[in-house]
Amino acid sequence: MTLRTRKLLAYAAAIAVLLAVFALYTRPAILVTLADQMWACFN
Amino acid sequence: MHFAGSRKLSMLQVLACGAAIVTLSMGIRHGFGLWLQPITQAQGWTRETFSFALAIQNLSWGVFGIFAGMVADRFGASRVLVGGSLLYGAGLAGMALATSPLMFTLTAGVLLGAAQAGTTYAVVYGVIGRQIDPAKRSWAMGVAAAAGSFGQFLMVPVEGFLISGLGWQQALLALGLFVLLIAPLALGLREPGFAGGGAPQRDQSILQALREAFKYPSFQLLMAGYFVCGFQVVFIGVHMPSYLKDKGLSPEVASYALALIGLFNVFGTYIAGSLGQKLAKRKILAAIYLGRSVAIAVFLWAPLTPLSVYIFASVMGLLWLSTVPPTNATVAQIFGVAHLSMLGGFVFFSHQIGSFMGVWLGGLLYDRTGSYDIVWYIAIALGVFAALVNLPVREAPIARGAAPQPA
Repeated sequence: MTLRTRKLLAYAAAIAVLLAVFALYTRPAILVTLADQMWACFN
Repeated sequence: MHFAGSRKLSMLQVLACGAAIVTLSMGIRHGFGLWLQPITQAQGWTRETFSFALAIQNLSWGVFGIFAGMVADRFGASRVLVGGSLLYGAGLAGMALATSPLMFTLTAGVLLGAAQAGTTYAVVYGVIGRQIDPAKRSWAMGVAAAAGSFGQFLMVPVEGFLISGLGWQQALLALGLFVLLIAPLALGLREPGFAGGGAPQRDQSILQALREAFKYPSFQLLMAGYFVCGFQVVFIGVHMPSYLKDKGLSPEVASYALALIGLFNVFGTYIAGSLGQKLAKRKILAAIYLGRSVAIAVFLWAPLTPLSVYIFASVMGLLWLSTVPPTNATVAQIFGVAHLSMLGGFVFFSHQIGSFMGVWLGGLLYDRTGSYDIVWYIAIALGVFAALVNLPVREAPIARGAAPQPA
């Protein structure tokens, strides 16, 4: 495996992990928790 | 400076351990706001009690950061990191078990601030500065900053799940155990130059290094720029949800906006670190600060819709902590690495004062005027100011034995 291929794989893996974490934010349960929490600070 | 001839740690080891440490230390603290509601409800405290403790935590982080940096430069970062992880665990346990506002302020505020000072960027960057070749230093600092940004992005939903799964108190105690992982990771950052408990021989004492830095105009300019970074980032992070609420947008828009800031922050810190190897760091910093001002101005000028919020959040995410690698790499480049953690601690102290001002002025001017307009304009003006003060920074190593050069 060339260095370039390894780099590409590393970047692809990093982006996959980031998108997986972003997906956590789209889950209704966490979204509601976060939204409630933020709004609670200002009510 | 007598690190040059010492055997060095492998780059992979430094990056893996350093990145894992800042992922934990930066990540755990980022979700503390999620405990506001459960703690204030369970203890019968006001939100002010909670907010005051977190404000103290930020100041404590800034103040102890200077001393943590001094100790790390003198006795080795790994010892400070081990101590910091123990403080972090104790602080989280104290936050869970505190029964009075005073105890909560001392644990969640003072103790956790000191713990963060011992486990975050300034201390880890000292190791990176000493152990990684200058040709890759800025990139490596970008990797570590990206790891910290990833930690912030990751831990908010994870902590949300922990609170709903375990309850707020058990979640804090679980995190208190989890953060102790920093101690074994710190063993991977034991530098050969600090072996045997002794300090490496240095060309300057702490006082000489401080005197040199504070007399050097470029150091003052970097501190001024970092103050603006703290002001803008914390003002937006804390007050933007309230601003969006005032403008009639839904809570979900604010949640997605913060998620987008977190996502793009990872890319931004990595890109800024990588660019620091190829471009003048002062120009990168000026571009970041100017970019923030332009982004804020366009955001205020354009019609406010969920789409405009998401675009603003993505752009600000790219520019969020991207100042961290070029600022610290510039300090290392000018002054060398013997006192890097301490000098980084001083620059970060300026950042924390800016953070405090961003939160405080945001609230104060909102209360006085009924809108955030003035603070947004201040944030724009400060961004232009920071861009201008970074441009004349001299990145070349300081000429020792000669009079300090003008900026």
